[in-house]
Amino acid sequence: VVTLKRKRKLDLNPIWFSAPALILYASMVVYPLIFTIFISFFDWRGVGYERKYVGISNYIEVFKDPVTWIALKNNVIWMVVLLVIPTILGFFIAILLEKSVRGEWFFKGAFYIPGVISLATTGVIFSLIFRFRHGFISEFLDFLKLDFLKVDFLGSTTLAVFATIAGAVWQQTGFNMVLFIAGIRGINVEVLEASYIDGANSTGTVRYIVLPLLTPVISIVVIFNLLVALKSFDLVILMTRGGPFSSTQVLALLMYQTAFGKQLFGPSAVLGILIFILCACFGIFYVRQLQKLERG
Amino acid sequence: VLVTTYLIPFYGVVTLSLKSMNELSSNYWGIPRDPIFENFKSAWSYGLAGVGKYLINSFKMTIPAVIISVFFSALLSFAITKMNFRFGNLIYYIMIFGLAIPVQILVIPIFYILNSVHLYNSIAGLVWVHSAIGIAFCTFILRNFMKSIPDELLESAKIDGCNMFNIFFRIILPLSITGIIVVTIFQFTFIYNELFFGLALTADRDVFPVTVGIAVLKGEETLAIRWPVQAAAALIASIPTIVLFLALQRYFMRGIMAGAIKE
Repeated sequence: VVTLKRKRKLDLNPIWFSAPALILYASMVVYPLIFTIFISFFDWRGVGYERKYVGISNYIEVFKDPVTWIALKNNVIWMVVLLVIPTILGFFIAILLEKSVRGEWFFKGAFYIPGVISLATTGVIFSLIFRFRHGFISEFLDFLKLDFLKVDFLGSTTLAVFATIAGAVWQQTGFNMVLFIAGIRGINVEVLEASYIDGANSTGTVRYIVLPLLTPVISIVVIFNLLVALKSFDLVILMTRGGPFSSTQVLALLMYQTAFGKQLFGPSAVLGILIFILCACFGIFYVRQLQKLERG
Repeated sequence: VLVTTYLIPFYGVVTLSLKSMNELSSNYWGIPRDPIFENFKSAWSYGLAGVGKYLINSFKMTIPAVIISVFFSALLSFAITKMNFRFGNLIYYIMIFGLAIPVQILVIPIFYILNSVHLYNSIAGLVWVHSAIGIAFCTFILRNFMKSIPDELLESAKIDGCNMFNIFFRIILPLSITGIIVVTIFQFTFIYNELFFGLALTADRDVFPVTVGIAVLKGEETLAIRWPVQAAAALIASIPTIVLFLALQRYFMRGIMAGAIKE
């Protein structure tokens, strides 16, 4: 009897270990998530105001607003650019670095460092690059005596989007490179040697052996980039604030401005849910891909 | 060649931050003939840009948030991997789901909650938010690290009379130290670099984290705070994470692989 009692005392319930994390998580993630869905059906103009139930009229309002569609279109542009450029660049850099060994850590560091600095800092740097007066590009064109080519990137309704994406490409490439390096390291060396013995040249090896074996990594990289594109906020608010004329607007920034600029909490919650649904689609797609790969 | 183009932005910003406005008009691209630290001084001083103060705020926010989220997540991961917890797998899946939530959509309720407990515009509020959000990621990684610790070790410790707390601190934590380091540096980088919640949940410069400080600086260009000062401010702000990265590069790479490839 004595031992039994003692044992009970010593064997703590797992609840005590998980409670702190779960309570904290529920307070600032689970509860707010449910609350956001709730808000999306209400007219609420800021803390201290009354909430009025309005059904789905917030949803109608958001989808009628042309700016929503501009933001959506820009998020799609972000996705396409991030889907292609950092993935391909990261892949080729990874291949190059894995071939030549000398100074490898230096190069890896050089490509990865942009990935550890904040997007806010990157925003400042890329504003300096693209600004019209004394921007890096402007000055460089001056230097080459090509000043007639100078463009006001950040003031242009067509080019500014790409200026904001450039910073994300710069950051994302290094991250993709590291993932690809990890993937390449995972490939069995014997497989590669066998392909060389069979007379494959290095382009052939990359094309027919490395690429197919890297499919899981590629899909991960792609999903990460798409999610980054969907959540883009920092670079846009830093470089253009969504302007000129909302031409660089993205969903996350629009959501932020709707809530904290216009004090329209309802429509802002609707935009949040829209971002959530889009992310969830890719999330599900991603899990499906992984399952397919595992099955063979 | 690739590396060079990749690093041009850095070169530009560093040289820019060391030049006066006068030198810029005559010698834009060259190495600064007469490097001045005026820009860094104005960026740092509270009277002008105030990055020094913002940096301290950032540390006050980041360090407690990292410690709380990593420690709580370690406890949780222990419970769900080694304690026969009925809801273990359910919690794990909730955390994976949590990773897919774009946290920005939580901002209005969070803003409302912090307002009602008078933590809006305070560092404590930011600590609360960031440590809570970090739990999904930390648990996801730590759970995978802890899962690989053999159960026999715990059994023999139990027989030797260790209680669960002792097992946690003496066996589990030391054995998953790599995982702890990995999530710590990642959490540090995430939280330190975070801008969205910083902007939404703070209102005056006494509590601005450095990312918000930079965003505000960028928005209000005055005569004293010209863009070479912005460049200097951006550089100062990125020093902590770059130093962390250079010191722990190995763990960074390992963390990316653990997070992405394992699952």
